[in-house]
Amino acid sequence: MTPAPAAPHLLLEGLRGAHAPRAPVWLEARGGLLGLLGPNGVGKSTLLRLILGAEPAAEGRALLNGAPVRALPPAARAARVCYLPQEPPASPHWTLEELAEQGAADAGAARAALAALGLAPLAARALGEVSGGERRRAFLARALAQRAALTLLDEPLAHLDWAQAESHLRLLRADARARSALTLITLHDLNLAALYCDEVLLLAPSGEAWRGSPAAALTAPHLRAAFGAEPLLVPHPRALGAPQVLPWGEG
Amino acid sequence: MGGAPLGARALARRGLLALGLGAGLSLLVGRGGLGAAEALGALLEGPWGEGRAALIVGWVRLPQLLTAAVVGATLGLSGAATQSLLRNQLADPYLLGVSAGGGLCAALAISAGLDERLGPWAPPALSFCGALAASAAVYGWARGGRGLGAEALLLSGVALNLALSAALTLVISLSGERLGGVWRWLLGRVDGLSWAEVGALSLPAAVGAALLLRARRDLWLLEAGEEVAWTLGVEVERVKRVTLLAVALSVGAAVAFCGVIGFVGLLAPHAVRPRLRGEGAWLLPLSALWGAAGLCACDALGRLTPSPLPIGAVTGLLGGAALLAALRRGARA
Repeated sequence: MTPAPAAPHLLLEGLRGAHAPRAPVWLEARGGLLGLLGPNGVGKSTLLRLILGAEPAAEGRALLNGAPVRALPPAARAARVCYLPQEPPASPHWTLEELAEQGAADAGAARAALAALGLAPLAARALGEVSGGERRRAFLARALAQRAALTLLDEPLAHLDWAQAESHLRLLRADARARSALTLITLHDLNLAALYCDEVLLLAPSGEAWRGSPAAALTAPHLRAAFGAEPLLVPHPRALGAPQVLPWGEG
Repeated sequence: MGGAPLGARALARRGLLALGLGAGLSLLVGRGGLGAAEALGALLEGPWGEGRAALIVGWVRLPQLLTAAVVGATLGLSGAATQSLLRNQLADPYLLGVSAGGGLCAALAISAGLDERLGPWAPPALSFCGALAASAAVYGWARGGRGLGAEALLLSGVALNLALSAALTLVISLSGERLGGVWRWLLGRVDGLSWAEVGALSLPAAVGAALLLRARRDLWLLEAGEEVAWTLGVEVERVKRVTLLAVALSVGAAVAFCGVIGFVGLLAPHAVRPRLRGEGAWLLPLSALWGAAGLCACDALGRLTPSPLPIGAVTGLLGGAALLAALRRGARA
């Protein structure tokens, strides 16, 4: 067993890529579930890749506990940083268990993560033999099993039904809180983000960004600026202070 | 290719069994008017046996068997590594320029009569240098400003292969009376190597195999994408360079001594992959074993025909048939 790594401290100092995000992003985060929100093409995925160092920054820098992620030595990486891309490559012949074991923190972590996501009965199946949603959840299991201090998840809930998306997001938040870890997640579902993210960072094409609790960041003026449309905002009937965006409909 | 999923152990057992059968067959049958019983007797006498049977077994069949095993293992192993490196299951170790460079230089050497003027070692030596040079060119070309993309490698390999095969066609058309020698080399062979040549082939093959087998876990993780593999502790750029070097060394040596034997590098990992359940890091060693077994069997089968078939023709025919059969099975499943 490796000793538990130091609590994460992520610092973005005016970080900007060659094409996106359009304006430098400043951010300091220490733990919990942080949602990255904004319209398509605003630079949510790019921001994750810039933090990882997979793309060079046009300006600014990202520091994890005082050093760029790219500078982590090989043996320390898996415990410090986990990345799940939007379209993760994989061999269709890998079994779900094999996939979850790729980054697993210890022997039991892969099984525990598969069980937590309800995939235990499918553990011996190959990726090519499960449904698209099960495949997505298998990748999420790999990320959970890694138990990294900083986890970067790019649209992990896309194409999942609402019940699964909600239960998985709840699981991700509980996991980040329990381990005092930091999880950055890009999401398209503002309503789920408002209910489960500890904080959100809303990016607008103009380069403006709002960071804070969902209630503070997801206001009508901010959403209008970010998405270019007037939102129909209602308070959630049960969760106090969680703004919810409804479609307008006709009538 | 379809096939029931098995574990790594079961796949290893089957591979060893097939290798044993192929090796036995290849020692007991062949030319020289030597019956299977005589061959067996000579084999049991050991390396100090005397007489014609011992000579044929010890100086013809045994080196041929070893050549087939080494080349088959090299192609299977390098094929699996190339597929993981390029994240493309249709990739082949020849895709990285090794066979095109090695083939062109060997054809040049043979058609210029260098083997007669400088000795029999000239074509393989030149071919090996050509294979290394072509791999270096593919690597250098693909290497952009930052890192080495799988797509860039694939494309520069394909481009170099096309250009060099055009040059090879030109050399063939100009080779005149030595055309037969060039063709025989291009069709591939595992027979007729001396023990010294088997040694010269095996040394770079062993170095390449050791490098690739050490990187087997890294290559397995590389199939999860370079960024993910990086977070899991893989030194991505180093693994890519080591893999290219190992493939160039081992396949370059195989091509230099045995010509361009097709299909093994593609088929061995294809046969292993879908059957290998839950133990992906074993893909490389098992592909080597199945490649060795496959080429030994093809070599033995090629000797059962009235006139011995060039091994490249046997692997091409059997490999194509196996791939088509697997396709039909896959379509039905």
